[in-house]
Parts: sequence; structure tokens; C-alpha cells
Amino acid sequence: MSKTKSTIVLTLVCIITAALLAGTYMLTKDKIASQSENALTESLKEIIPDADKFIEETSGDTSYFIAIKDNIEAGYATTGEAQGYGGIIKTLVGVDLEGNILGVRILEQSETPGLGDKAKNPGFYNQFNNQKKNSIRLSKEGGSIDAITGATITSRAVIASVNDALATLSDAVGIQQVGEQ
Amino acid sequence: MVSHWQEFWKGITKLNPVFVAALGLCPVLATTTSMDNAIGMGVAATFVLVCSSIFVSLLRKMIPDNVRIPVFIVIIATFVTIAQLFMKAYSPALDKSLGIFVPLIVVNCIILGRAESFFSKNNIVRSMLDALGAGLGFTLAILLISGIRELLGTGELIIFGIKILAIPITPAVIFILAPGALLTMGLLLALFNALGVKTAKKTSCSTIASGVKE
Repeated sequence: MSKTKSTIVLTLVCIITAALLAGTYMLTKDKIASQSENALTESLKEIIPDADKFIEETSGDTSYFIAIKDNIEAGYATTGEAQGYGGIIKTLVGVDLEGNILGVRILEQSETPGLGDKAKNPGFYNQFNNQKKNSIRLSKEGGSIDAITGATITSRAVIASVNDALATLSDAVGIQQVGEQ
Repeated sequence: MVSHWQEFWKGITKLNPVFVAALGLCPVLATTTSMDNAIGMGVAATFVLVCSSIFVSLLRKMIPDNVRIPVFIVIIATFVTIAQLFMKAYSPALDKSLGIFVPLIVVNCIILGRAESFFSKNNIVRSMLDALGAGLGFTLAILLISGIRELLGTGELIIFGIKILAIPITPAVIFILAPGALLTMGLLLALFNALGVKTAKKTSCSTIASGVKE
């Protein structure tokens, strides 16, 4: 008798909790799916706020975004990757028609919490604004990007990631960098 | 009979899950790298504690003794998964930085310990107060640890992007890293011992209740 009761109670509890879980899953499913998409589109809007819309283009095996404002091209954006301290650092980089950086955002990173993950802070990534390809360096190497305290490898990796994105863009849309001929 | 207020208050003071019972130390050490993480972890654990307390105390007379642990674990795992789904939906950044430690709340000793020793023996009001107290005690403890680590390790305290405190020191990066967690935890335990807070002699899931008279 007690065995039967145990089985019934355990089964009932499992059914009730499974129903609760199913409900929560249905409730959050769409929101979770849109979160990762949102991360990209919201970052795009942040770095090129003037644009009315973004068109995704593919060139070879890479893809990039063309920012459209009043039906004309206003800038380009793409993602870049580089090996950081704790894994791949993925950045989104937006440039204007001359190739000046409009903004940089960190899309994915797995750097040390409290150290390298400070790359996510505006104080760090805003330093890339108005920089040009091939001129991006840490300040201790003659550039103007101040490294994150205690996270030089991460700082270098973000720069490499940004350069990767810039290389993709110059291949794809052929932006000629001033001083790079 | 213990008053309701004491039922709540004991989780923060004389039965504090971290500093007195020394339970669930793995997430305590791992997620206290920043105050943001500690807040997220504390809220998630408190949510699971309170929801589990409601279910376990409501079902306590129906649950046969021999299947009580599976039933508790199923209930706890359900609320942990619910907490994680909501975190993924509304705060993906927090979900990423807490990583594996959210699912691991399932096996957190604090929650199973309270379910086994308290929720399964007390009515819903007392269980909820106990859960709130233990959750808040846990949250305050990890906030204290993460505050010390973040301040010494980075020289400033930033909560949700707002800088609330900065001290003019050279940051001791080690406090952000793993050794800093052990150092901070050890020194705080020593401090509380010196102040006369008694640590539970044996640290198993059941001592948190049996060691202290309710």
C-alpha cells in the first residue's frame, strides 16, 4: 500500500511540475529566441543611430550590413572575431563611408569576470570611435586605446577582432583607407 | 513557539547559510566576482527557496517518507529551470555571466537542507518566512563577499552600470580571481568567529537544522 502511494505521489508531483515547466517554456520561448537577434539589431542601431534600416549582404563567405539613410548608403557594419584570453571575442564594428569607426560593440566574449569582461563597458569600447584601420593600437604601443587594467591580452584581442571586421569590410565594399595606399 | 519575525531573522543571523552553516559555498566562491553577479545569484536562489518552500510545505502531509528526497529535488529543479528560463528571456547577459551556477542551484545544499529540515515540518507561512530569511541571508553574504572582492580587485564598485564607490588604490587583481574568493571567505569567517558568531560544527545538509534548536 505504501509503495503504491509513494509511486502515485511521485508521479503526480512530476506531472504537475512538468506542466509548470511547459507553461513557463511557452511563455518565454519567443522572448528568448528574439533576445539573440535583438542583441545584434540593437547594437547595430546603437553604433549607426542615423540609419533608417540595415540590409544584410553577403560577399564570399562573409556577411555585412549596409546602413541606409534616406535611401542612400550611410555606412557599413560587420562582425569580427579574435582569440581572447578566455575564448573567442566577437565584435560588431560600424564605419562611415570613409572607413572611420562609428562604433564598436562586444557581441560575445568569455573573458575573466571582473577583468577582461570590462571590455563590455562603454569606457573601453568607445575609445574605438573615429579610429581608422591600421592605426588602432594600445597606448603603450603608441596608439590611443587605453588597455583594461590587468587585461592586456583581452584589450589586444578586441583590437584584433575590430581589425578583423575592418578587413572584412574593406574586402567587401572596398573602402579605401586614408593613408593606407 | 518561535515568533514569525524570528523565523525570518534567523536565516540572516544565527543560521546564516554562508557564514554560520557554511553551506552551498561553491556558488558563493564562484559568482562573487562582481556585485551584479551576486545580486543575480541571490535573487535566483531566493526565488527558488521561496517557491520550493510553498510547494514542499503544502505537500508535506501527502509526501511519503521514502520518496521525499526525489519529490524535493523535482520541485527544486522545476523552479531552478523556471528561474533560468526567465533569466534567459529578460536578462541574457546575467544568464551568461552566471553560467553553470544557475542550474547548479538544484543541488545547492541550502535549499535541500531547508526543505528537508524545515519546509517539510512547518506550515506554509513559517516555511515562506524561513525561506525568505535564508535567501536574504545568502544574498547579503554573497553581496558582502563580492563587494570586498570588486572593491579591492578593481578599485571601484559598479552596480548595474552605476559607479557607487571608488577608492584610490592600485587594484589587487588577485581578489577578482579564484584565490581572492578563498581569501575573502576565509578572512570573513575568521572575523565572524572572532566576533563570536558560532560556525556549525558539522557542515552537512541536515546540521543546519539539527545543530540549532528551533
